[in-house]
Amino acid sequence: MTAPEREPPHETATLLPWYVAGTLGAGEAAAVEAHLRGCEGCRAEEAELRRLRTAVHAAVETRPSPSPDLLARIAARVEAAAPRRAPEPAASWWSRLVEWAGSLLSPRLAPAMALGLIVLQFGAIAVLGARLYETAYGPAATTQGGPPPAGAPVAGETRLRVAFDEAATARRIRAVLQEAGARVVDGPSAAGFYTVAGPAGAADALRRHPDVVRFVEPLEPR
Amino acid sequence: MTGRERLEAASDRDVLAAIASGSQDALEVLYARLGQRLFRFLVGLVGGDAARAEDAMSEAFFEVWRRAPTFRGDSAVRTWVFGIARHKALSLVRRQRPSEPDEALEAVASGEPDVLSGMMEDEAREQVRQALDALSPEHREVIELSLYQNFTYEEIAEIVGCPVNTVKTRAFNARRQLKRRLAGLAGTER
Repeated sequence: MTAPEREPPHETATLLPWYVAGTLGAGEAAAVEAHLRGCEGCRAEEAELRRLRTAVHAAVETRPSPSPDLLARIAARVEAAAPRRAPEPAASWWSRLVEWAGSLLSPRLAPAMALGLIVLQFGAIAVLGARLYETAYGPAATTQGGPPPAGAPVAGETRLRVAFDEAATARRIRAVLQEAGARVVDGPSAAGFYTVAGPAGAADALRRHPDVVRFVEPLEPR
Repeated sequence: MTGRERLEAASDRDVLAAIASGSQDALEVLYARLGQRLFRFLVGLVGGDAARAEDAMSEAFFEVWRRAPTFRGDSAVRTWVFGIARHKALSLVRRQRPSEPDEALEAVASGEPDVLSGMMEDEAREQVRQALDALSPEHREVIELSLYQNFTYEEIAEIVGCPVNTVKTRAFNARRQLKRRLAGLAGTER
């Protein structure tokens, strides 16, 4: 039979494991400290818990480690289930564009066409960047000591971590961002994520287009 | 910096997002971060059987791969992964062996209030290991998750799927039982 659960004598006694582990919030930790100063029973309990914690660490660390090939077995299982999703979503629409361009021409000309598209893309980024900059800061900004740093926060804006759907076209992404009043301020990260800044309702506006925006998450203020 | 190095420097959330995008490198990075400690937790859950813990681990990481796109960011990635792995381990245990009642507790004598202070380090480690193994799975996991894995009580509530107050009460009672068991073990040896 399992022993019945008993109610602890008081709230502070229940917090001691997290107090000794250092995982309580500052307010609760301060409350526990204040209680400990006046409660001999809890001080003894705390001392014993510290020893118990050390012993639990030592005991748990005697447990075996996973086999060296476990990760390989997991990877093989994942591989067998793939392709569920293609990697590098941010590059995918671009790859598709290059592939499409290549399909229009003979195989020998495809690399040249791809190169042309790269040049075009850089040009487009420069023009788009200039327009976004003008929209965000206005022409006066250039006469007042130069632009703020790229991605500089603007008061009242929210910042989001966003992943675009691999099948979304650049045109659709641009349209959805414009509709949400949002703009890309950083990215892509190694994981293919962009930092997007926009008004308070931008996250909801982006989520309304799951065909284009696969993932939206508010970023913690830095 | 290579793509792999960038992943290794990325936050858990970014790594999970990369998994959601199909990056197997990212899955390996997450495994490298959480694997060892998660495995030790699973070994405890499945009664010390390393082979079964590996099955649970494999199931868990496959599930993480499958469900990464649905992660909403309401909790820490580590908490989410531990919750999935715990569920997988307990499902395996239930499938392979009916749960056994925790009978040993009745035989343990109550003893000194501080039984660890009088033990040598090696002795204490072995006795604590035995006492932990003898706890019910619910009590063992809350002790390990709080004192070894350093989860907050809110995170533990999420991992084990019960109210916060239940976690606190369970930890309190687990300590009581550990104390009794350690006193009983110490008494047996003396």
